[in-house]
Amino acid sequence: MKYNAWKAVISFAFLLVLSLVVPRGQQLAYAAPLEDCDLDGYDDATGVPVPWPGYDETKGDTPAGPGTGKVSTASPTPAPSKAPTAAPTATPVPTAAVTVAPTKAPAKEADGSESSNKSSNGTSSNASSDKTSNDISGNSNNNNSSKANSSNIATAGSVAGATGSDTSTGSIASSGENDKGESGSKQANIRNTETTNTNTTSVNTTDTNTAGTGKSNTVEADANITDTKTTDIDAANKDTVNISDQEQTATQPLAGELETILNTKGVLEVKDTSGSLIHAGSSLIITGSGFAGNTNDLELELHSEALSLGTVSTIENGSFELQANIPETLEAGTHHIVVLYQGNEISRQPIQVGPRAADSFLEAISVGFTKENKGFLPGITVLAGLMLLGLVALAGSILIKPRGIKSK
Amino acid sequence: MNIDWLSAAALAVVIILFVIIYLLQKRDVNFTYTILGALVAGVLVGIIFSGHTSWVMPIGKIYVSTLNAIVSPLIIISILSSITALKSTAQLKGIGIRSIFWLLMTTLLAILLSVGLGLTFGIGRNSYLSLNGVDAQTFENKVVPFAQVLVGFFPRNVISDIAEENIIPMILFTVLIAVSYVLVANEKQEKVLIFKNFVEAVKEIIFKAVDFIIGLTPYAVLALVVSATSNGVSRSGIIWSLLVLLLVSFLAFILDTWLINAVLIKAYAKLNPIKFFHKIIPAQIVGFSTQSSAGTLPITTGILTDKIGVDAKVANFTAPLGTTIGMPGCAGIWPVLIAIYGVHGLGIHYGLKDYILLVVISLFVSLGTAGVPGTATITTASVLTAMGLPLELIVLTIPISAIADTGRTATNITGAMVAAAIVGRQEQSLNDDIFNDIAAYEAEDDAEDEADNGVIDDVKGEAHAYAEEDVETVKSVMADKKVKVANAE
Repeated sequence: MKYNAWKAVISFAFLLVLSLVVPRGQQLAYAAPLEDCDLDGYDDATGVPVPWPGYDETKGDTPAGPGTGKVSTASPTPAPSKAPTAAPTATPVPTAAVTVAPTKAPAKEADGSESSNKSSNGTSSNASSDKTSNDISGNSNNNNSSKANSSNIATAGSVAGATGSDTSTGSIASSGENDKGESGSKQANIRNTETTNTNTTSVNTTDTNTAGTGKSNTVEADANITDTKTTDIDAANKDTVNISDQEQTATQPLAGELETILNTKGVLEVKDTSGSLIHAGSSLIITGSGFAGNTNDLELELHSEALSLGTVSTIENGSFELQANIPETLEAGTHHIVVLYQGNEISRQPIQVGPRAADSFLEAISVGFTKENKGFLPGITVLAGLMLLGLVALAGSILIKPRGIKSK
Repeated sequence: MNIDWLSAAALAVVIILFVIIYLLQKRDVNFTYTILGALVAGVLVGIIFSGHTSWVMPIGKIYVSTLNAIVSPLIIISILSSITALKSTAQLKGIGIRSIFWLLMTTLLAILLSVGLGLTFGIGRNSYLSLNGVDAQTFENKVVPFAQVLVGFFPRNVISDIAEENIIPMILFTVLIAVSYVLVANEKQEKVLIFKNFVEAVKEIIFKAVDFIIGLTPYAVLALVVSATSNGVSRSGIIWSLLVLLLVSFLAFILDTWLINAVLIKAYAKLNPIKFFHKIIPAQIVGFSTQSSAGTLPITTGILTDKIGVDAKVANFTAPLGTTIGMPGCAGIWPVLIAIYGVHGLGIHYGLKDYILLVVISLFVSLGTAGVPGTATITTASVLTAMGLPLELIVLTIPISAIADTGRTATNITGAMVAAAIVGRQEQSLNDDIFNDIAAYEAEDDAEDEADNGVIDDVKGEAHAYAEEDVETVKSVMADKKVKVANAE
């Protein structure tokens, strides 16, 4: 027993030293990979609660940056049924991460995380963030909310969550108490300077059930937020979106994934369905390849008139195919097929569009006598040249005396 | 295994229509009418079985392939036959060179006229051709360096040139062999006579094969139009553009026949064009209705000698040569217009050099043609192949080609007669008294005397036949004439 006691003490000391010496990020890095593909908030293999639904370490999801104890707080959560929502309830801060998304930030209302606060204690009454993002399309980006939230939870105050290509200016105000006081109440200003901002979204989060006791010294104020009753997002003073469906939010990519989607420049092949030249009124087959795989809601537009051709989803290998018609009134000349994602251009392909087909005899016979017929002048020149040759030949025959005329 | 019963039904209907075409041909129904009937039937069947004609499509494809297969042998044998017909180097230098020159000149002028009209009218523009299995965009940026084209004109390996359908090297090599034959034959005729006989024998066989393939045209038209209509190819844009193509081609035939040839006749044959055309109308009518330059040959030579006053040695040399060399309608106007139509319809960027190349290639191709109905299809295939354009253009234009064949043949015959008249003038072998009808009565008397001797037929009867435009009578009269002349000799 004595031996065992010593062994326990040494082990404890060893663990203590390790925990002090080894950076927290490294500690997390060696944690068992968690994967929540079914978005139920639990690891698919072990049933261990994950920081947020859809969390997948195998894809490089980081539940928290250095100094966050997200995993450690999530793991010991005993209540399996409600704990999963504890992570997403960290959305008040995460909403700051949502604002990282290039498009309009979604508003989210998440319920059901009341029981996850056994291991944490704290209050986050109002978390608000003001953000501006370079939203072009005005579409709400629901994809990023949950994952991005986590990163922000993990990095509350440390701005680690703002890893997307789009930047946001957000201020997060959160209050909470931590029994160790390490991060009990924090106000963080998150500023990302990577992109320009055009829209402003303010996120107000009210947390009504946020008691949390941090057993771990990695607990952040964000982690204490366990229940979010309401989340209001005022996007650009005109869009108010309430999202209560966690499954929707779970499909939103991380800022990193967004960056991947935008940076994976695929190529487009545009053809007329009948194999003829592309012209006004053509039916086109647009084939894309080399884009990010399994991406939904890629928008295809015809520029420069910004005419929507449709929305596609790529398959695993990053390809897609779309059949679309272009209007008969489209002006002839060079146009572009543009692939957009959340309003951001991914790729574009120039196409030469001819005038619409001649659909009457009169149009067909007169098509040569329009300014579009560049062959008219050469054609007339050839005919005039022939005429001139004829006149010269006739003149020559008059001037030169005939020979070889024979009578019988 | 799922069977598309509609496709099977479409095939069955097409086979029944094939039987009807066969019966019509057995009853000697006009070739053009048969093709037009096949065109109408094809459109109807294509509409009824829309989207279910995949079983019919191979029939048309087989025809196009077969047509393509006969191109090389026909060109080679036609050139060999034409040039080896020159019995001596003296003839080659005199009548031969002049005949070839003027036959090619009439064709060149027709080609230039076609280029001018085709570009001016912009034929094929905004038609947006959709050819079965052909992607228009693959031709859009097709650029071949001119130097490469020029080098490609000359033969490198005759076998590979034939295999790869390099038309111009093939023609140049054949001309080389043919001229070499004439030079050798001038000294050792017996030694190379077997070659000449071989060429003539092969020519007969090849021409028969061409005749057979052309005879299949109504069947091919039916199958191709069924597929095209079913696949929506015959949409209005294409149909209107084809009509414009037909209209422009007839405009070209008219301008070439009666304007360009009039200038040539006036300037180089020193003859009155109006009187000339009045005299050759019977030959033009026969050519127009039979669509056969070779079939009209007896009438052509008869008119040249008896009404125009061209010496028989020139008439009997230049006019037959004109059925294999030249042919402004079949080897000049039609292939060029089809090529320009395709260039516009497929949106191919053609520059000046490309059009020059088109002119040169068409001229070379005109060296080896056959004076049989539908030969324009083969010359067009040659030009398109040489220019790298899709042969499917022929498929698209076959229906109107049948109509255009009438004007083409008349243009060919006129071109050959104009060339013969000019050569006759330059060789001092043109009798103006005959042309001016001064010797008409004497000729008639002579003809009567010769008829009494059983040598020649009745010119009066011949003229009567012309007046009635009875093609069959004219043919039989001229056949009798030849037989009698042969017997007399």
